[in-house]
Amino acid sequence: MNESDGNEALVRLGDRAQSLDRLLEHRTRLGACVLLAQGGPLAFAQLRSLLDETDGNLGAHMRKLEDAGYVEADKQFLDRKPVTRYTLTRDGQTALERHLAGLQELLGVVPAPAAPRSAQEK
Amino acid sequence: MESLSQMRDDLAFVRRAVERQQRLRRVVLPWWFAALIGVSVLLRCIGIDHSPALHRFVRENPPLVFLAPLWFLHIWRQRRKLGAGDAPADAYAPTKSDVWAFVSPWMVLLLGFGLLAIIGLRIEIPDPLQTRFVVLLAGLTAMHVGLSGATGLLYIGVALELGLLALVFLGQNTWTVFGSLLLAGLVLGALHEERASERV
Repeated sequence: MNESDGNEALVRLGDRAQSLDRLLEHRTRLGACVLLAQGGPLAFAQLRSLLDETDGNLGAHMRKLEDAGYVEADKQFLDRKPVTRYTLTRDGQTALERHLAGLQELLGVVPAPAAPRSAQEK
Repeated sequence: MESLSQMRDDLAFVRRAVERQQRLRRVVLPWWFAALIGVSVLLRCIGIDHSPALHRFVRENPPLVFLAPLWFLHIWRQRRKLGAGDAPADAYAPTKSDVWAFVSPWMVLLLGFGLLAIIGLRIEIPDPLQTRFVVLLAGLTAMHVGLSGATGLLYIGVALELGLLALVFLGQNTWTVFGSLLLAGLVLGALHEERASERV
């Protein structure tokens, strides 16, 4: 690889990093969107259990996703208990796909760090 | 570089959450088990020996039939834990009487289903009508349990059961028609349940 090729790759890497969605950079928000994309509407309690998050943290993250229009919340009462169910919106789906593609490309360009020598020997 | 390794960690975290979600989906298996037993018994009841291997399996493993209630109880507990509402799960912890009120009719029904299924499959009753009736009851109970897992189809299941019971004394062709209907109901019920559990 000559110098100009290397520079081009770096520029592409920079572009990819720019294309990542700031909102989805947090693992909980990314996890919530992936789970919603995979399994349709999910209740708050289900997300909390799957992501192993506290009520307060998850509530704050979901509110950010809701404000950005990535998820929609539907509040209902079941057996007199409030149940909030979240759905990924079309915008959320598009943003997630773009973010995941960017991540994949970024991580594909930069090889994973080698495992420690002792682990390799095992 | 550090943020890239952070990204890898985040992706691993997301992957673990997705795996957890997929593991929870597998709880659907017992519904299929109940549906299989129900279909098997019902088909035998209408004179179609469709799967001798399955009959033999049920006949030779009666404890499995009795294990079905425990599976259902397990699923119920999982569902209750996950669908407990927005507040912390502990806030809605059911009292002992809540649990008993829910469990007791189910246990009676499920144990009855197990007993009837075993009686229907193991004991030869001389009177063919009586045999058919016992086997029918076992099949219906199994089907009821399978269908009641899919709440939306519970009423369809009950209606079909009543229709079948009303037609107990009618001819073989009617049996076949209603057997097919029931089979369709069971498959729909199991599919519905599986789709519902995919959202878990």
